[in-house]
Amino acid sequence: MKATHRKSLCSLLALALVGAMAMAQDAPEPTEEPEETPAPKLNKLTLRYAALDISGNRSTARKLGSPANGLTIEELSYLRPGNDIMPFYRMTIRDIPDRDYALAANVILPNGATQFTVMSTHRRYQKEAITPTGDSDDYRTTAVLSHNHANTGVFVSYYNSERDIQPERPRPSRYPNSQRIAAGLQTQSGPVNASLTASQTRITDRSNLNPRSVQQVVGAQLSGDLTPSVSLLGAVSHTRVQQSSLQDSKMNSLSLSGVIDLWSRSTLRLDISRQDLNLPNVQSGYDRQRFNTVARLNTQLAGWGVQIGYRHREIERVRQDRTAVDVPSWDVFDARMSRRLNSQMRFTMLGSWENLRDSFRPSTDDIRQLTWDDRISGQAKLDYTNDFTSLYAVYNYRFRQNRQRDVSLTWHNVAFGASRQLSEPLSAYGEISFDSFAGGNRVEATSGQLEEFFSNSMNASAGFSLSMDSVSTLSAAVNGYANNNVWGAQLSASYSRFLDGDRWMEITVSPWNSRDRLLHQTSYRSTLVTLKYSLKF
Amino acid sequence: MDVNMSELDPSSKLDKNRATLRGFAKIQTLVLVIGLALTSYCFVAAQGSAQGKNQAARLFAKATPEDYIGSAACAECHGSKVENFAHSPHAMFMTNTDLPDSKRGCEGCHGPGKLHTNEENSEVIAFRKMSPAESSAACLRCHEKTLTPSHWKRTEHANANVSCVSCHQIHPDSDPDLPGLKKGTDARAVGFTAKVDKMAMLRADEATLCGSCHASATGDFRNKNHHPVPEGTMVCSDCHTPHPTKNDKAKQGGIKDKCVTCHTEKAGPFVFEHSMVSGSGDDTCAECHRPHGSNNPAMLNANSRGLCGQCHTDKLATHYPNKSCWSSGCHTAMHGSNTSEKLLNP
Repeated sequence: MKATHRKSLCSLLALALVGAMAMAQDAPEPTEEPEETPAPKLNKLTLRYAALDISGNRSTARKLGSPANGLTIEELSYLRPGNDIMPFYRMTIRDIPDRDYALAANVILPNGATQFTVMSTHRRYQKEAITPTGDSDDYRTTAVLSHNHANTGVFVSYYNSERDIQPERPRPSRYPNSQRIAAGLQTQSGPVNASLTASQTRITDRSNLNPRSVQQVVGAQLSGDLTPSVSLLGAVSHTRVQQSSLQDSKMNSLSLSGVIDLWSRSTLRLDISRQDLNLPNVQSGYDRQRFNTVARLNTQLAGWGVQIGYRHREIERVRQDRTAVDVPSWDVFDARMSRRLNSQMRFTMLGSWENLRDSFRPSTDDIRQLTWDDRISGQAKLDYTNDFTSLYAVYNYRFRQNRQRDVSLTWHNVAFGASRQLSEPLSAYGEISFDSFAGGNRVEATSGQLEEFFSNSMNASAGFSLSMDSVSTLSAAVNGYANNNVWGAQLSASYSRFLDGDRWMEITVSPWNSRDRLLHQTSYRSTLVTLKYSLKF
Repeated sequence: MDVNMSELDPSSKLDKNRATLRGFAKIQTLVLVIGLALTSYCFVAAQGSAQGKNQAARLFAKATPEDYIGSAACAECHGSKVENFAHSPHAMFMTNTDLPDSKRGCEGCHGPGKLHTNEENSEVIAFRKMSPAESSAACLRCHEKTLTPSHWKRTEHANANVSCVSCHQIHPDSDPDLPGLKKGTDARAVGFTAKVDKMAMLRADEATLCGSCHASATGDFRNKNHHPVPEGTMVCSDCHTPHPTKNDKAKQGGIKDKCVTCHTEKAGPFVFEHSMVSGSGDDTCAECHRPHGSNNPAMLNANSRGLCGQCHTDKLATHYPNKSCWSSGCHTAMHGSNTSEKLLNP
C-alpha cells in the first residue's frame, strides 16, 4: 500500500474513531420507560472466507479487479442516526485486509446543513494479455465538504487518483497521477440563482510520456424563473491548460438556455452556446470555434408525450497546413414519443437523424471526408408491468454512411426481458439481447470486408430465487455472452440461511468460464467459493 | 511543423457557402451575448416578482402557524412510518427546532397536518400521487441549493416525466417499487469489492435502479468487456450526471470530459490531435468505444483494423493487411501524440 493511501486509510480510521468517541461521550441516558419495540439494529458486520482457483490466463480473469481470496471483513458498516444534538454518522469498510478495498465515511452535523464525505478505493488488476502482465493499481480518494446556510451553499472537494498501468509488452508502462481541487458557491435571491465554481486539476505522468499538465476552470452560472412560465440559464466558463515546456492553451465557453411553459404540460426549450479555443501547441488540424443551437418542444398530443427537437452544430476548423478554415456543420433532428397504453403497458419510440451539411478536408493521404454524412438512430420499447410480471422488448437501430467513401454501417439490436413471481416463494427472471451488423464499401472493392470486423453478438442472463422456508433461500444467476470470436459464462449459486433475526450465513459457488477462439491463450476458467457470516448489531 | 498563427487569414479562403455559415455563427454569437446581458438585467429587475405556483408552494403559502400540529400527531395514524424514519439521513429534520415549522418534521415535506386532517377538504403533499413536475417541485423547496428548479427543468429525466421519488426512497421501510425488472445480485458481483454508495437514499443499487429503465445499457454490460459496473466497483453516476448537483457542476461537459476524469493520460491537448477524439466529432471517445460494454477488446465498436477502416477506408484492405493498427506496435498513440504526426508514438 502506497504511503499516501496509507495516510488516507489512517485519516479515515481516525475519523471513525473520533466519531465513535464523540458518540460514546454524548450517548443519551438510557430511558427508564421500557420501549415497546426494540430499536432497529443499523450496524452490520460481514466476514467472508473465499477460495479462488484460476486455470488458464490469470490476466483475463483479473482484468476488472482482484476477486476475494482468504479471510476478510467483507463489510463493516456503522450508522448513527442524527438528531438536533448528535451528528448523523456513517462509516463503511469493505474488504479489509485485501488487495481491493473500499472505505467511506459521512458525517452530517446536527444543523443538517454541513456534510462531510470521504471515500477511498483501491483496485489491483491486470491488463488482458496473451503473456500475463504485472499488476496494475488504481488508487482513488474523494473528499467533499459542503455547507448550506440560509440561501447560500458552498462546497470544497478534493479528488486524488494514482494509477500504475502495466500493459502487455512492448507497450510501455504508464504512471498517471491526477489531483483535483474544486470549490463552489451557490446563492439564491428571490427567483434568481447564481453559482460560481473553480477547479484545478493537476495531471502528472510519472512515466514522462506526456507533459505535466495543470487545468484550471472557472465558471459562473445565473439561472432562475424570469416569470412563472419563463426560466433562463446563462453560463460562462474559462479553461486554461498549462503544459510543461509548452504554451498555455485556453478555452472560453458561453451558453444561454431558456425554457418557456407554453400551455398545459408543454414547454419550449431554446439553447445556444459557443466555445472559443486557443490551442497554440497543436500542429495538426484543430477546432478554433464551436457553435451549438438547440430548439426542443415538449408537449402532449392525443395522450402521447411528444418531444421534437432540432440542433445545429457548427465548427470552425483550421486545416493542418494553415491555408484555410473549414466550417463543417451538422443538422440534427430528433423526436421522442411515449404513451401509457393502459395502466400496465407503456410504449416509447425515439429517433434522430444527423446530417452533415459541409465537411472539412482531412490531412491524411486520402483527402476524402472522414466524417459520416448521415447518422440515423431509432428505438422502440414496450414495457409491461403488473403485480407479478414485468416484461420489456426493445429494438434499437443505427445507420451510418459516408457518401464520398461509399461506406455504410447498419446495426440492429433487439432485447427482451421478463421477470415473474412464479409462486409465493419462487421468482425468476431472464433477459437476452442480440446485435447484428451489416456494412460495406464498394469504392475500395472491399464490400463485405468491413463487416467482418463487426461481429454479430449476443448476451443473456437468467436467475431465480427460491424461499425454501421462512429462513432459507436458494438463488442462482447466470450471465453469458458470445460473438464470432469469444464466448463466456458466469454462474453464481447461493444458499443463505438466517440463524436468528440478526445473524445469517451464505455459501456461494461461482464457476466462470471465458473462451477466445482467436487468442485462445487469453481463455481462463475459475471457481470461487465464498462462505459469509453476517450479523447486525 | 513551425506555424505562425498570426499569418493565418481564414476569411480570405472561405468560399461563399462557408462565408454564409460563418455569418450564421456571428449572428448566433451576437444573440448569445445580448441574451446573457438581457438575462442578467431581467433577473435583477424580476427579483421577488416571480413565485412558483406548484401545489406544495400553494399549500405552504396558505398555511397559518396553527395549521402545524407536529410529527407526534402524525404518528397516531402513521406510527411505523414515523418510527422507521428515525434512521434516515432526513431524520435530523424531524426535531431540529432551529428550522421553521414549514421545513421540520413530517409536515416539512407533506404539508401542514391540520389541512390534511380537515375532513371536508383534506389536503396533503402525497409525492407518489402527484404529477412528476409537482412532486419534484416539492422536493426542491429544500434541495434548491443542491439542484435548482431551472437545472431540473433542463434534465432528460424531467422531460421524460421522471420525478425525484422515482429514484429516491425517502421512507426507508417503503417498497422499492421499481418500474422494471426486480433482480437479485448480479452473478458477477461475487468476490469483487463494491463501491460504497453515495448515501443518496436510492431505491436500489445504481446498476439495478438505472437498469430498470435503461435496458439497452444493461444488455451492453453483460458483454465480455465492460466498465466494472456489474461488479459494483463503478456506479452509473461515476460517468452520468442524472441531475447536475452543486458539488459536481465542476465536472459537467461532453463525453470526453467525463472519460478523461479517470483516463487522464488521454486528456490532451496534444501537439498532433486525432480529430474525432479531440472533439470535432460530437461523440468523441464514443466514436470508437462502446462505454457500457462490447465483446470486442477495449470495449471497441469493432474488432482490430475494422475500427479504423470504417473512416480510413483506403487503408482497410491494402495498408499492412492482416495487422491491427495499434496493437501491432504502429499507431500506438491513436488518442493523440506530442511527437508523431501519424500518431505512431506518444
